[in-house]
Amino acid sequence: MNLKNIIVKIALLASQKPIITIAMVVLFAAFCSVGLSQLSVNVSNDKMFKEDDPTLVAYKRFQKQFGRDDIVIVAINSDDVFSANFMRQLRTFHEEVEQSVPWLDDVTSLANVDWMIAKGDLLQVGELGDEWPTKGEVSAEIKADVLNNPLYQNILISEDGKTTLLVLRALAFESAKDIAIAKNRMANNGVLKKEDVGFGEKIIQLHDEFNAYLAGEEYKPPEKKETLATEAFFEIDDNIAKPVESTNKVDTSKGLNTAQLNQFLQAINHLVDKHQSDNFAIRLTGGPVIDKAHSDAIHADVLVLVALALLVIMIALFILLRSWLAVFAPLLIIVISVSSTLGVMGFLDMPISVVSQALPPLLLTVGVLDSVHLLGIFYLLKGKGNALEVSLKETFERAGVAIFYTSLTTAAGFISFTIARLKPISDFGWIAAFGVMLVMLFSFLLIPAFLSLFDKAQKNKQHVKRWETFARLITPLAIFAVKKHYAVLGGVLLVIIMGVPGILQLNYSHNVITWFGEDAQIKKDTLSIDAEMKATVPLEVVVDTGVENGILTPDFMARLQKFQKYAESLNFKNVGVGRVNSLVNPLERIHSQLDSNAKANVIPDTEALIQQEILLYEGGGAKEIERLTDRAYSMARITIRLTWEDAREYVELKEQLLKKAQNLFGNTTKIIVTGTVDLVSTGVIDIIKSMKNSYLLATILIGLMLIVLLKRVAFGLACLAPNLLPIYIVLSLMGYMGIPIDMFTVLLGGIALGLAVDDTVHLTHSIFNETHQKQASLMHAVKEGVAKVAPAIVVTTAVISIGFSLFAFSSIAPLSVFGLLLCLVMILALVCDVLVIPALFRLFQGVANASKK
Amino acid sequence: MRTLSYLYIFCALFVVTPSVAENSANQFMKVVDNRDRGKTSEIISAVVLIDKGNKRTKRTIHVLNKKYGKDEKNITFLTYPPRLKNTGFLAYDWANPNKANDAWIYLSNLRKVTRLATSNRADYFLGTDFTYGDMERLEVEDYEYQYAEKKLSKEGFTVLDATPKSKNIINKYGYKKIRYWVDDKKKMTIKAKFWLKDAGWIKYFKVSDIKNYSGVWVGGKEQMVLTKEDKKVHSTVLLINKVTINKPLDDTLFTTHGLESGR
Repeated sequence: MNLKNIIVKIALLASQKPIITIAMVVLFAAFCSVGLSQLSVNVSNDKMFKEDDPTLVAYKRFQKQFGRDDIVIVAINSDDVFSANFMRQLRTFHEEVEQSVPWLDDVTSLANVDWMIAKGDLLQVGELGDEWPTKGEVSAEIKADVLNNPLYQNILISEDGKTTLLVLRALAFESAKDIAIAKNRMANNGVLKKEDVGFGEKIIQLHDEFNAYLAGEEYKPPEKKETLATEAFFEIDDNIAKPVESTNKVDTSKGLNTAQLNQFLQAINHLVDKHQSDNFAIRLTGGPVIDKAHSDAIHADVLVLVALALLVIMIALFILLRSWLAVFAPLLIIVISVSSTLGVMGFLDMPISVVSQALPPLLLTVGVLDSVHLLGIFYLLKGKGNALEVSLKETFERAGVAIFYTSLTTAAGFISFTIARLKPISDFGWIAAFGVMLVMLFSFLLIPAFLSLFDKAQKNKQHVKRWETFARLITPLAIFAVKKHYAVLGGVLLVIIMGVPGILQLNYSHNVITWFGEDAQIKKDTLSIDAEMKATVPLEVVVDTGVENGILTPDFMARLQKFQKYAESLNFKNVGVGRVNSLVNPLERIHSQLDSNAKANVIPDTEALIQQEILLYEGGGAKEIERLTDRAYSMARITIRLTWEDAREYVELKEQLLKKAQNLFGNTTKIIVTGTVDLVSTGVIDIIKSMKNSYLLATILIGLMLIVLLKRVAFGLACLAPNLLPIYIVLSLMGYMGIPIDMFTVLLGGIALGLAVDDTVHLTHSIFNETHQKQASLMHAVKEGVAKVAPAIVVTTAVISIGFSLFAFSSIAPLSVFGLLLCLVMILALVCDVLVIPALFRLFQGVANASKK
Repeated sequence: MRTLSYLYIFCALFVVTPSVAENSANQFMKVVDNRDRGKTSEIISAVVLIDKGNKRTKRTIHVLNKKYGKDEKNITFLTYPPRLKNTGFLAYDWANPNKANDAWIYLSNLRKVTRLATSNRADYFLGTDFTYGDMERLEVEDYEYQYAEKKLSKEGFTVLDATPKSKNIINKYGYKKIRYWVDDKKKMTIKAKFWLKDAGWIKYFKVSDIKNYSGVWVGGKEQMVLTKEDKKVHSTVLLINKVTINKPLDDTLFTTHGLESGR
């Protein structure tokens, strides 16, 4: 039994047992949809990578040692930062942040940052906030010291002294205790209601209440006891003499998810609103804040786009097929396919990411194709007066195999993304391919079942006429291509040549701040804080000597100083480099305060003195020390503060800094450049790589399928041309117009190839049938073949193009550009298919005839 | 205010007197604070710093202490690693609460003695998890003591809670609450738990291998573990190598000149 017969048999069986078929499909979909309860949204930068990715492994190691690098910056503007009143307000704000913000690791401000000053023969060590008097203003001497001190200038206070920052860091990893604390804080600050306990806890509570009732006692909630874990902290470490074995295991610590970071930010926003005033004007920025802003935009967009797509598809289907069944059957198929696919994502712990948020509207649009082909042909046959079973059988005979292959080729287009290193792109590849195959399966089962139960269509000449009108629009183009095949193919060559300069101008970009409009608060705040302090994005460089006290030498410290000066003086394209700091800064401060003869920015000249002066730095305790180094003083952390820019600019900057660090610190040290900037810029490089590889893989997979379908190697490969050409034209146009490849447009080629090949398969399959099975002449075969599939391919192109054009309404600028470009590529694909495929048939017939002679 | 008394890092952070029959927890802790510790003491110990990745760093120190009536003078020299050798701290702990402590640091390579402000006792000593405040004798007058709900622990220790009397005291020592477990028979505090003023930060102290030297109980091994939200951040283990009680010590040792001369 061949493929065509299997598909026809399945369809007929579904039409004979419609209730059982529908029940089975609904049950299966319901089972898959249970996973929706576990579906999460995660758009954080570290979620871009797979767990064992070296970039993520390096970043996690950094986080384990030093904590989180992507900070939340709370900028406060005031005319009297150095007044007692301001410090009181700042302390209150600071303390409320510490007490009520869930998932908080630490907060630094002028109130609690370390401070050291020599007053005569007395060395005073403490917190800077203690220098503020209870009345009046800070002394002019201290004010000048704070404003010019590299430990604070452009890190906690602007050069003009009118903007000060609270730097908040969320926890890098979660633990059971953190979850309990966060829950408690959220209950207290109103982010979560107190009675909002987990389901599991409710069950335990109900069980205890019931037991208390049976025993005739009053229920008392259990008291919190000293846990075994905390008791263990009293146990004396008896193994201190034993050497410690190092492990190279992949770190599986769970970082905070988007929901937890959102709770963190929600609590901060709550406090910002509470403390906001004219002379305490607060602005917010930083990686987590920007992540949340576009996560919110994504939520809003998905809802709007799905609703719009549904509406447009309903209208388009009714106009084209004039049947309520033809409207609701495809919609039901699409809805249960989307719900099942998202449910499977939930089961697989695959969060909705920046990329996969396009999945629901995409599946809606792609899913309608199968239904339009099947219902279009069915109503045409019914309109001609055929019986239900005959019409169904012929519909599946004519379109079944083609739909099977088009689904496979579309899935192949998506599968090409799975080789991408970036997790959101590879996840999207798998899940979209799964969704497409699910739509095909549901269409093969549900459409015959629904038609068998509800179809009341009669002989309908108008439908036949309308359907044939579409054929009349397309057929002349195909006939022209057969007649003037050299002109058409020459035109293709010309377009390719003209496109080369555009392709060469193509650029790459990833800059989420440009996703927002000029009026967006997050954009205004980020850009204004950057203009004042250049402090939004931290790039972290870790220099690891691998030797205990390896960094506590005059030579190493001098190199650190040199590297910092080099980084601070960099004038790199649009990226502004702000303050760079490391352990060398507190050391300079200590030295200048201990040695009255020492000038500022001078470090001790002997190894012994450095180690002795560091003893004073250790007064801040483990918490302070481990911000800048490890306890063995074998590694130094250098934080380079940058302005928010396009990730592609960070790529070159990062390379330049790495090269300089390698030159300065030599081959014996290990240099690691990491942090959010590294994650994002590595992502951009990978976008470039994954695009080339994805296009190549999609071309190979689709080429192979065309060879199998058409049973000709050279012709199968030639038929790739009308599919690749539209993508080439659009990419070239993007180059000419300065539209970059970004996280959305990178998907253009793969999706377009998968969808455009649908038209190719239907068209070549139909013409091929005419020439080989009916032995018709090429001109007749093209005329008949095109006429049979033209209505369906015109309708599907129209529906898809309208569907993708809806993306233009997205608040995310690159997503709307992506929608319009994809719309354009689909129209171009139809034109290319109708012109190039007949021309290729003619060319290959000529070659065949010539070889026969 | 009393000056630093480094002796008690090594011999006993918290000590008790023979009598535990007082009714009031405050009285009980006063008696604890005033117990006899010998006129002088000399202790050599290793300090092992352990980070969250279990990496260890070792230092050794030499501590001398001498009582002058109710006042105390204390000098600590670092003896290992070699680059820190002869770096030292000198502290005077005045019994008069109205007289500020005095403290000096000497960096041998700078060849200079620097006076340190002593108002903040929450700073950490030598990168250990012990603060300057931890190493002083108990500042009984700064805290209100209460016996815990369960006065006796399962090990038989007396359990007391100390609450700072004011916000200034919280800022001065860095603790918002302390719980002590006192061994009545050995007359020493065996365990203590410190709630730091920063939310979620707790320190756990324990002493073991206690021995009696000329009538003074000294812990052979002491540990302080710094935790945040029940996760270990860092710990310090002190290993006592040599203890000498009531050895004659020259007064000139406990001066800034003595600090410069080294040991």
